[in-house]
Amino acid sequence: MSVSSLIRGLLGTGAKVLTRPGDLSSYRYDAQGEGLPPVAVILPESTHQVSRAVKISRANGIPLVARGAATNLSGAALLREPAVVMSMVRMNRLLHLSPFEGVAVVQPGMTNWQLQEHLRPYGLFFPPDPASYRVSSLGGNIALNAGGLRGFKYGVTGNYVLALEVVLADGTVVRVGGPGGWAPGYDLPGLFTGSEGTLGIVTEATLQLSPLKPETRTALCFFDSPEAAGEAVQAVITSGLLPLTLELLDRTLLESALRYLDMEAEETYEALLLSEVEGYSHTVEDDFRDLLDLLSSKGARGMRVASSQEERDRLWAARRNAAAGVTLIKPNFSNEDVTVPPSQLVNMLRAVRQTSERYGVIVGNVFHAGDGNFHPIVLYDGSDPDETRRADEANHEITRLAVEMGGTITGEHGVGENKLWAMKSLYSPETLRFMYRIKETLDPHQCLNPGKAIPRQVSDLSQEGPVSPDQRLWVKGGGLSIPPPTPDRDCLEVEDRRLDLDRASLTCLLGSGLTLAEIREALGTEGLFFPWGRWEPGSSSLGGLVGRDVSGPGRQQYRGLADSLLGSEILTGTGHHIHPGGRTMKNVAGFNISRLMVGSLGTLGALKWGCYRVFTQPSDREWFRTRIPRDLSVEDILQVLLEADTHITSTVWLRGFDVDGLDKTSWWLLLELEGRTCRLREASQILGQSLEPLGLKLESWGGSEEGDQRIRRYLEGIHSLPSYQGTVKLSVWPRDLAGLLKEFSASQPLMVFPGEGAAQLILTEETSEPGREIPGNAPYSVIRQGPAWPSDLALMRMSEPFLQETMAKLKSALDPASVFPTLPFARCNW
Amino acid sequence: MSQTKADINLCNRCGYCQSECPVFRETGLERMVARGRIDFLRNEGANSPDALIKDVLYDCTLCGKCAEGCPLGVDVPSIILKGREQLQRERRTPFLMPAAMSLLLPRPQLLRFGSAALRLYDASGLRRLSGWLGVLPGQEGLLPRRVGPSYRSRRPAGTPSRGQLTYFLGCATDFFYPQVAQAVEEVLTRSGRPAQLALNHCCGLPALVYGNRDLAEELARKNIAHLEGAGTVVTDCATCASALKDYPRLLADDPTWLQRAQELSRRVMGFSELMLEMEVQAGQPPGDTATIHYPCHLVRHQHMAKDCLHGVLQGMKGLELRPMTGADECCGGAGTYVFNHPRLGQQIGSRKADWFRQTGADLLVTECPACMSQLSRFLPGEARVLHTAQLVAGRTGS
Repeated sequence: MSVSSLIRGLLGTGAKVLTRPGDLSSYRYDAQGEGLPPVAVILPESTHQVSRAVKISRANGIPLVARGAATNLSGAALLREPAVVMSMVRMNRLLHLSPFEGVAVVQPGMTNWQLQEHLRPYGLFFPPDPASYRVSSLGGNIALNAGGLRGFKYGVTGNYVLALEVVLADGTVVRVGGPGGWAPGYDLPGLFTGSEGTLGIVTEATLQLSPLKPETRTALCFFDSPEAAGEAVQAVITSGLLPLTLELLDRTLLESALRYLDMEAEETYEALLLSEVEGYSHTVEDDFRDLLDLLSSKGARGMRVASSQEERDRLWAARRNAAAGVTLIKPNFSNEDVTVPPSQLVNMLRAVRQTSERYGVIVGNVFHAGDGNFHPIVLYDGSDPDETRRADEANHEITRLAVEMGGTITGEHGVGENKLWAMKSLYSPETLRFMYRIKETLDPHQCLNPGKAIPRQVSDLSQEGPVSPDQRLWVKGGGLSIPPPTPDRDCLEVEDRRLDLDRASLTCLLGSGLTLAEIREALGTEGLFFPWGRWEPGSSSLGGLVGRDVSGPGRQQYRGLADSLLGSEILTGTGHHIHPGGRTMKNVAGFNISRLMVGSLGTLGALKWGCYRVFTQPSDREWFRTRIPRDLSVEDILQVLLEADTHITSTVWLRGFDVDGLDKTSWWLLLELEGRTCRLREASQILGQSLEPLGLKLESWGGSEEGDQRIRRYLEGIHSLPSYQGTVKLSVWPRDLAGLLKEFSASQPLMVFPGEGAAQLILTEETSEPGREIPGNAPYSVIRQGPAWPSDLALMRMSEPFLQETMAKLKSALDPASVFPTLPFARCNW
Repeated sequence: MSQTKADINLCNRCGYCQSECPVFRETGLERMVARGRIDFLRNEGANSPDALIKDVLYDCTLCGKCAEGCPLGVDVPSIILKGREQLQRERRTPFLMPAAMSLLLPRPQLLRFGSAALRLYDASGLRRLSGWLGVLPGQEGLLPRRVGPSYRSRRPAGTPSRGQLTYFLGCATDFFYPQVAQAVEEVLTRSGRPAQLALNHCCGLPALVYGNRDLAEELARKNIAHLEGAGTVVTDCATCASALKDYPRLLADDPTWLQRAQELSRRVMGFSELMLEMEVQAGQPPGDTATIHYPCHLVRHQHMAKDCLHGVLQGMKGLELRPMTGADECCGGAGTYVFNHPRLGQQIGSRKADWFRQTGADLLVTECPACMSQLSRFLPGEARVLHTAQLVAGRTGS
């Protein structure tokens, strides 16, 4: 290693480089701790400079740590060995904004707040909002898969990352993901998101945006005990209401919050709940009333409803200032971050209280109750060594308790270096080993943020289980396999049919051997709803659905299947059972291997079961249809839908569907609305009025279930034809849709899901020329093969160079002996 | 010093100041944001090598935005000022400026001579000649052009009589914006409350920000003595107003002067404050649309002054007031900051100018001569940068 040649090299990139000790020392800390000062700091302004700097660091044997705003609370950007810090703050531009697609392309140094400011005039926002959103960088949000206050309703950063440009450890630049977050092959954006800068450096991110809701209602209320508040929150979660926020503060914190509001805390107030509902003018009052009624019936008192934006700001300022106010009680505090399944809220609150008593330290609770993300604040006096030690032990105890309750060690702050110890209590040695293998294959020389996120000391694996390296297997779902099984492969049938519902957490463990019909029925009797694969035949297995990542309606509302798969059991190519992820929506512990299984076509291993989010069945769902004239632009329609003052669950374009109420030769726009029966009419009127200026007439197409059945029956009819060739899923940005549609004949059955950035093309011998390539150059993947599949038609088409290599590396990490088939790469189209 | 130490230790490095700091926005350097500066002072202290400590202490515009947004309320400007004072005491101050100030500020006649010299330099063609020869440093371009005679050279000043409204004319307005001073006096006269032009000294703030506390105190005492017995003291300059209002803090350790300082500070009003109190009817605005730049010393160092400035403009008939992004952010002028940090000052100024262009307004209104000079530098021919007084007077002067 040579520092002088390193610095010469870095200076040669043209980027600003810092080498004065006084400057370097300011890059040794983050928001909670300190490490070594870096050898040098580089502030690149382009991807090219990042790539060159990575290559130079690597050539000089000095690792590199990317850094955003350094508001970290887990030590993810601290240095424990000599390294170069790469500060991304100068790459802070908005590169592209496409309002009608709801997509922004940003550089990683832009702050979350700056993006929100850019979006507001367009009626859009970026849902993830970590408490530090005013300063934390989007690159940092992605690296730590940041959550925030709106997590219960909107999820986490990873749910909004569509595509990334990443500089890998060898300096290669890859572009991963695509419209709707999907691209053929493995879910690489899902892997890089939350990897804490250990696998690559994000230099550009394409983010999904969401329309701003015009109305918000905020209320604050009190409970006699934190447990009572926890029970009320559970009731809200299972009721199907989807509040924007549910923030719970216990006695320690509520006092400092109320001091801010100049309010007296009654002695019996032991918990404060700040809740918020957002929506449109025709829905928000109903939802808010229901929420308040529900809370009151669960013992809420002292209800205070914000009557103005000003008051709302004050309530929120009180919430935010509560944590800073605890320093009046004790000079020091640590901010824990654990998540439990919401069904364990009450138990966890009790356990935290007992821990506080056992260790003789004050523990305050202020947390995002809706998603079970606890932030116990342990108060202590740093000048008292005994109390400091007890505070430390209480923190460890709380982390252990969360794991015991089926939760996770970090919901949004990340593992960094602070929670490395706890990774071993959360994951089996095998699971950790496989996570580390991913690090080893993508960064074999430990060039990027070494020693973070995944523990380095992991034991070697012993061979075990039913798989031996010379075996060749194919994973059988519901009888469908892509690529098709070859005679030299043995069939591995996933027979796991468990269905283990955690009603209060709205999650369910589902065996991959279950069929969609079984899942629909079992959940339906509980008033619940599994919103994926709605247009897939009931006989399809869940494993098959995950492996193929089939599109369907509902993504605008429920996000993708990959977003809902929280954790899983995977049989790897070495015969080991690993359990990445968990049962909570907010979970940033380790690499998201579960997500990699979605769309992997059974090439990485066998998904035995997964823990999925499920949803409360809306009281009513209905399809609406309108015929689209040939000359109407996709952009205009999407813009109108974006601006319509009502929530739309699904937007689908259909052609070539000979189904009741539709005809085969026209383009049909199907829109799905859901909610209270009495409000659906209003919503459809609002939508109808919005579409009228375009000359579109909106009509009901019946209840959603009937509509879904009609489509399913039609598709099953096609699937059973001897001339059925197959179905491919194309990745396409809405902006490219018009061009793509021109490529196909009018009779070609086609479903377009603009919200998902995907189109499904149904190929039959009657509608497409045999053996021809799929027209256009959109990336695609086959999701169903029929009897007449043309043998010379590629199963997959990629968009980018280097992707194949990266995906092959990933496969070698999880399936080193290629026991499972490889992805059917045909050619890369660049 | 102990309060400063406590403030330094209070910072928990959360980094929230990053979203507020105009200097960090341009540089992205951790050493140039409050968290980094405070960390440096805590760990390396003022004893570190001169080049570093000077960067840490002098790259800051003292706009105070970081302190405003700090969850723990760390008083960053005070920390920086204390550091500068220490350097000054140890004679490690970086610029020629403090020496010039010690010489000029207590001697208004010399200051006036300097202004005359600048006029001569302009009028004699020397400026054009040297510009043509290309021998000037970049900062030269920042010096005001076509400076007229100072206001005081045309208008006699005197000792205010008891209870009389008194006009505290700041040095920058006097030398570079006599038309603003004229507008102030016109408005007051027209409204039936003509003011006595005070024979004041510099408010002392320039000395204070260069760490010359002794000089600032000396100037404060002179001004307090001169203004004793007068009625309301009005000033057109946000910086002067904040300095006068802050005299009690400056002289907190001087029991004999503290009370007199408090007595004065209660009588000080910024121009807009007085306008609202007097309910002055404004004249015809010289444009249809306006936006406001709130000077740091107005928005962060004076209670309610922001609302007053907004209130005056909002009350003007025939004027559409438009919001501006970063309206209360530093313009990069920051007194003499832009002369010492021409590149940074210009970057901050250009960004501010961009924000102004986004509003599409005709007029950019503010209440500080340093801000006016900085802002007009970046909007030549694009906007009329006006003082509130010019707007209220209904004439922009010449």
